[in-house]
Amino acid sequence: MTQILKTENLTKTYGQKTVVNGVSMTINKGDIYGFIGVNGAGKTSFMKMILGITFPTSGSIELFEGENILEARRKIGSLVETPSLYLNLSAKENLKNYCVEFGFDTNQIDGILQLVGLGDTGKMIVKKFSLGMKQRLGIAVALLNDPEFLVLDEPVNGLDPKGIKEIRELVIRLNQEKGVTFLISSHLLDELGKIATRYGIISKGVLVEELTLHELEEKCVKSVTIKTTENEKALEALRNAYPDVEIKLNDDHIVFMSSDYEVADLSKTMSENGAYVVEIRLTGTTQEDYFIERM
Amino acid sequence: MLNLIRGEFRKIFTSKSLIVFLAIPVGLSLLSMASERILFEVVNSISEGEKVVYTTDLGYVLLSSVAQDAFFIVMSVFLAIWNVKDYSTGSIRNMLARGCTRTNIYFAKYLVSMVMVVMYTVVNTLFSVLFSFIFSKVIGTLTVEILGLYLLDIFMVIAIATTYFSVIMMFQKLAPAIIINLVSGGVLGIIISIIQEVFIKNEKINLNTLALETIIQRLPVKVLSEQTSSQGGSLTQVLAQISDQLMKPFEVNSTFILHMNIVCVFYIAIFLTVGFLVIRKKEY
Repeated sequence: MTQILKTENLTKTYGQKTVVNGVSMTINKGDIYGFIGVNGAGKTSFMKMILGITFPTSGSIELFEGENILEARRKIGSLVETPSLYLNLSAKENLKNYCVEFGFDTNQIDGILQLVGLGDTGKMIVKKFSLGMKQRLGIAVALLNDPEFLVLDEPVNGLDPKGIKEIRELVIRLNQEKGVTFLISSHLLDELGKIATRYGIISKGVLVEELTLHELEEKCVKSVTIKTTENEKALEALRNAYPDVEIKLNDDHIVFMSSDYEVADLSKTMSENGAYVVEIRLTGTTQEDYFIERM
Repeated sequence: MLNLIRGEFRKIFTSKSLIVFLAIPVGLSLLSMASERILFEVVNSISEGEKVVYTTDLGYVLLSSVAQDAFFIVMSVFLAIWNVKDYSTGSIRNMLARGCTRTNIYFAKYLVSMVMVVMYTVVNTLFSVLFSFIFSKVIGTLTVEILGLYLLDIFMVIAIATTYFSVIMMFQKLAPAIIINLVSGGVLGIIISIIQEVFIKNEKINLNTLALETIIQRLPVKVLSEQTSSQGGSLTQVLAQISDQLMKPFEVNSTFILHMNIVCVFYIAIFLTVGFLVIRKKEY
């Protein structure tokens, strides 16, 4: 699988303070990598190093499997911190400036503005834009020249629920239709949970855990804890009725490792086999809780 | 690099500030020539004896067109406005993230800035000449020597603009860059004058020639002092002559021209290098 980004022991230090500490990360083509961490955890600092905005104190960065890093960066679109815009120009003029500066085709501008929902802003200068509109324009700048890899730092900041949904759909569409790879940081863990295929959790500059969507789902699986009058009988009945579900007997209770079935059905199955429910409750953790615990 | 240069030009040429930038020298030339003429007429009307005609020398006009304080103030302010913009808006992050190097960005900005400076200088001169024809009787002709000295003037303006540019790029903030640029020229001139008067005992060494702004201001007076004194001339010309006589004299000859060219190259090389060394480590 093609590696889009590979960092090894990437570290950034300001004076005595280490903001990114030995981060080794790999992002493969087609990934939507959700980068998770509290404010000041080192997400933006990491992204800035990838993009050449700051210099690593130590460690290495490899883009597109060792391609010349400057050439590789031409294939990357980014939005880091606040959108960088010329406030006295219109959305179109902003994009034109960037196109001329980077040697990109200006014919793509109208299409990109439509894509981010700014197609009808005309000659309105960016100074008069709302926060959400500026954010969309920042994303439009990132989308110039069909980037293969998009680095987005809090891309839904300032967007209303409709805007958030549109950006989410845009990310999914670009990923599925054009194979664009994403590195996205967001505080909206729920939002990130809806789109990311891989996750990296950063805490105090250290990448504490990397996991795939599947691994996350496994770790966040909800279970049903059951106490009955006859745990042995209940266990046998449940295993017969739900052969695909992992079911364990722990001390004085049964753990049914799925929350996909109705509690009433489980109860009925057990009572029909002579085991009556004494206590039954849903347990487990949400993705959000899982992330928060590790941040 | 070429795209960056095109981009820099585009940003300036789509900005309203360009019109203001070019309009200011026109306005200043007009104001200067008109006020001089009015003053001259006032003095002429109250003086007894033969009335003299208000004249200006074409060569003097050409060389003195860049010898105004306002000329440099406007230049430093606009260079700062244009070059700081990318840093204040954060656009520099987009440029770096798209694979532009700090070196290319720096030199693209420098080249475009210098083109604008030359354009500004030429516009300023053209309108100074035009208004001198409107408000006075123009005497004298343009000689090859005068045109050569005008080219030296442009080179000195570029060298001064390079120092401004370097300061702007080092600070990347509008107010500090403008303040330092406005103050530094005068302070440098004073320091050099003090060193010259107090420490330099050798008569042949003239450190004043290191202060480019001072030289630019003294050059027209120096070259054309004889014509102006013999033919009346403007008040500015007379005042400039008096001021020049107070400073250590220098001869305008081929050695001086060579010396000034070397000083300019020295300025450009030093300041461009210092600016570059600072910006190549900058993070955003």
